[in-house]
Amino acid sequence: MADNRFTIDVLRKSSDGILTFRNGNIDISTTCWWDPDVVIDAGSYVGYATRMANKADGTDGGKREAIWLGKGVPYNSGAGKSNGIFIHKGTGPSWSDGCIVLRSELVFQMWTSIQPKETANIVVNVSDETVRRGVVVPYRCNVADWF
Amino acid sequence: MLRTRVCSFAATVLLAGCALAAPPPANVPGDDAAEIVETLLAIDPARHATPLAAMHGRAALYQRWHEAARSGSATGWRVWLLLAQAALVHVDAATSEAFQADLLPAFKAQPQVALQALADNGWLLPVTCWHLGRHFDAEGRGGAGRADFLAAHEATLQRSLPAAAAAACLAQVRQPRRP
Repeated sequence: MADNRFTIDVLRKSSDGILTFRNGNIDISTTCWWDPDVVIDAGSYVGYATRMANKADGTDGGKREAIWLGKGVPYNSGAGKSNGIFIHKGTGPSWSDGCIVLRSELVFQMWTSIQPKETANIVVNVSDETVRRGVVVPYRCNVADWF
Repeated sequence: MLRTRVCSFAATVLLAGCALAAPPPANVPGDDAAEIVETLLAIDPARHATPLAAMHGRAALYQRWHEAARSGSATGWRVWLLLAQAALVHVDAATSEAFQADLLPAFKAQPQVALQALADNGWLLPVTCWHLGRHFDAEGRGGAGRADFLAAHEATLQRSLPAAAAAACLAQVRQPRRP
């Protein structure tokens, strides 16, 4: 297996997330989306730069450029495992049936810079944001208690 | 003389074209059948050496049976719809996304062959109709074309399927809910 030379980080918030990829002078940090009904579990996956053979709308005129997340990706808190999860182009959750999507030009930029293709040379880290806002409100915090 | 030569040339081209075009399959080839069963049962397909090859193999399988369905083959339609079922139950997102793009145009081109496949295989109906309905929302379409499709095909569905099946299918087209 080839070295995992490239890293894609996906930090998910409630309904969208941030995908980050750096390689040479390419520095991508952009909004990404997914189908809220099929959510892959947080974790690290080995990815391959490839093409989706059944989508003819690639940015370069060929088949759609994508990153395949490999075999057996768990989804919906371990409800099952999928062999068909990709990172590919899209402008919102409606482009996804479980895949992670982001703007086409950024997918293409990222995909083009990953060489060689069809090789297990990418680590895709998917994580969920932990949200803590404000301070813990003390019990009996009531204006009437101040007087 | 010239006319004869032109006709002869045209006939040769036509015959060559016919020879090159693969005929729609009347039966399911054994290795495709094995791969479909393996996919349904979450077994690594024996015909592919690696997971990457299996991923590309699934896409090729989809393409072969999509073409068979588009050619009007009754077997082609049934096998292609079975692949849609397998994609949904195993959350093969890429294949489901392909069906959401390709199924509706194929259905509109050949509604009777598609509906006969569903009439004979009612268990394929929820997933098929979900993919049909999802077409109108997928890839940012925002529901465009749904009303026109229903106006054009609602009566055909009602004529071609048992009443309960037609109602369930139309409900999925109107408001898709993952089966």
